[in-house]
Amino acid sequence: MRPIAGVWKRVVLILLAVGVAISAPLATRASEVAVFPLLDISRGPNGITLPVTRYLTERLSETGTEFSRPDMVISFMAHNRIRVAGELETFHLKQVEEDLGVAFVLLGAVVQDKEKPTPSFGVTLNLIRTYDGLTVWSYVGAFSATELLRPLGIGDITSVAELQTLIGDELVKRWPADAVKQEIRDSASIDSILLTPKFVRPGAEVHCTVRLRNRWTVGRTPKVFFKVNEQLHAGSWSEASGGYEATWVAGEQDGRYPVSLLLEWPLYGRTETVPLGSFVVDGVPPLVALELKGERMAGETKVFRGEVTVMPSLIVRKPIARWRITFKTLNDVVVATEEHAGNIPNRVVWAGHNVWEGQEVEGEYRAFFEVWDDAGNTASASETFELKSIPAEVVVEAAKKGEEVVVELQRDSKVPLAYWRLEMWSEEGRLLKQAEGEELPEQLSFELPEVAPDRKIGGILITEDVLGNKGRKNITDFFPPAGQNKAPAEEEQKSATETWVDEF
Amino acid sequence: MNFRAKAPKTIGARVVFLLGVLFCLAGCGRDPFLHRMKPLPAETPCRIAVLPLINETDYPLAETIVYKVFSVELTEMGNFWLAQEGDIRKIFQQFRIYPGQPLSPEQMKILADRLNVQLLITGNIIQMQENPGPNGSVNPELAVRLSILNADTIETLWSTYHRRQGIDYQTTMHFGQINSMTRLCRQVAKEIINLWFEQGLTPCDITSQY
Repeated sequence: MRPIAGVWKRVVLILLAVGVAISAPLATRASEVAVFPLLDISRGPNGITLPVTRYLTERLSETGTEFSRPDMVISFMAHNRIRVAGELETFHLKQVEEDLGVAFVLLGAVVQDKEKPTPSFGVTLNLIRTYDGLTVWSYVGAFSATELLRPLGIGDITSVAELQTLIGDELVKRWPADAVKQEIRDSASIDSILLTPKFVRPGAEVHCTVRLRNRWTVGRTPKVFFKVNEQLHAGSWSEASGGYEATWVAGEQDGRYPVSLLLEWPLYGRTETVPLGSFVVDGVPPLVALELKGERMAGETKVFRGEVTVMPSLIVRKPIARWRITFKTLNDVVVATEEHAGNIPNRVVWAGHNVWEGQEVEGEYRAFFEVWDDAGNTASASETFELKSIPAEVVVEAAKKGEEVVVELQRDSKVPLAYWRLEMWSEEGRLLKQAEGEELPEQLSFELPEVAPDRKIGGILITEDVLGNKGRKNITDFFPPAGQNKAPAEEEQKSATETWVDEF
Repeated sequence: MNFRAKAPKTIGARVVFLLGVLFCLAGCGRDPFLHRMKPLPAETPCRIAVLPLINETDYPLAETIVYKVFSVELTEMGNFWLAQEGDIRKIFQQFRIYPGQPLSPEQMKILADRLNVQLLITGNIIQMQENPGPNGSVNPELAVRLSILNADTIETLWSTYHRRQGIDYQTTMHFGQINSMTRLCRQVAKEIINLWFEQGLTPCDITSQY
């Protein structure tokens, strides 16, 4: 049996599978910058200003930078007993990176905030990288209303709030948004992901194991969940795999379901989501059809001589995980079978041999083709046919009726003949009679030339059916003496010499 | 002793100097005075700690204002790696010294070692006030003294004095005048740092070291 297509498709599928494994997302981050409350000098050495902090954060959000939630930052300050705004110890910078999952911290101070005698406002900001404490960007903004006087006093600045707007505008222009985005920080660093199976039937189990590179200190380990279609499945630590794993039941609805890893730090209410991959729920079985090629019809039966070509096809195109073809008798005795992974072949050729016994087979058989899609849904199609490799025997009986000779020809086969020829020869080698045609008659009548009574009349009958099976029957004596006419000892039935390619 | 501004010796030069002083008084501004006692380390210093400044004025938190602004300018102009203010404060706490009080040389050495810095910057705010100006405006005034110390030897290398007020920058009418103390702080810081660069302090490319 030769699966014509499929090898290259399998190669492509393997490459795709490897590609999916390699391209699994490795890391992500929840937010990029944590803005700590600004020190407000007008309120004393420990003063803070949340409104200005909030306003500047909102303005900076216009640049596309993601900021941590303010309540998370306040909670961090409380937990770490940070009492002075506008500065952090390096130790706390590291803690911010670990606990809040940010690559940068924005620290600053409002160094001037006066409405009288003239509105004036000044702010300093430092953007500090958390992993090494390097100040990557800094800013001093200062405006006074009297420095911004306009001709005739039209539209003059009259309040600090207007100066804050100017600071915000300038800040947005100078904010290093691209540099912030380029900073890759592996908050949750994925070592490996095993999500199986990728395709499931509704109600089947899906299993996921994730190994993380991160090592958290005691008390700072996050809770781990697997998020599937807004449903959370708690992940459990597995010593065997060295990672977190969870098993859940796929839903009933067909479709693609993304899976994410959700890490939750209860201390600050911080969560981080890492996309892991997806699986497909597929409850629709494939639709497959089967067609036989090269057959000859014998009534309602499809007849083949030796080689059978089977052409499977999908009525609705769909990726197929594996297929199997089986040839069996009508009594379900399997004579040949073959199974392959990958998509279905364009055609399969069976040489008509019993794969276990290595012999040509004859008779009625059924080709049974089964397919399984990636989710395991199965479908099948079958076709019945007859194998005919041996020409049917023709029984020849001749009798003399007066001057005529009557030859009766009996052939029991559904496969029609394409050609026949009957020759009668005298014992001396003289051709007495020859007849031929396409359709074998049941009876032939003709006159024979004179032959000595003690001489035998022999001959041959050559047949060829529509499948190409050739038969040759030698008859030594058409008119044997009484008692011998039913014993065709010298008859020889020869089938056409054919060489079959062993496919099985 | 090496002052930035020296008195000219010739008559012609004195005339030019006086004209220059007049020009400066008219609004062009004056340079800071730099006293260089020892040369900077041969190796380009990139890691610097600015110690809390000492406020000698009545202006509330003048040392914090100048500290914040000066640190930003030093980072921005020189691209230096500055020790975290929080780390410095923590060491002061451990020494049981309030920020604004001077450290002993031994304490400075310990601080420099722990922060792994090459230079220390200390300073005093000598004058900070906001004087009333015309039409309800403010004329800020600031005088500071900043010193650069070798972190290994705790020797003062350079000492700089600078005094400025908002109207120093006035050109025509009210234009150019600085009315905000923060802006004056920034201007003073820039002028001091520029002078340091002119005199041999080299800006760093700290990003190449990380």
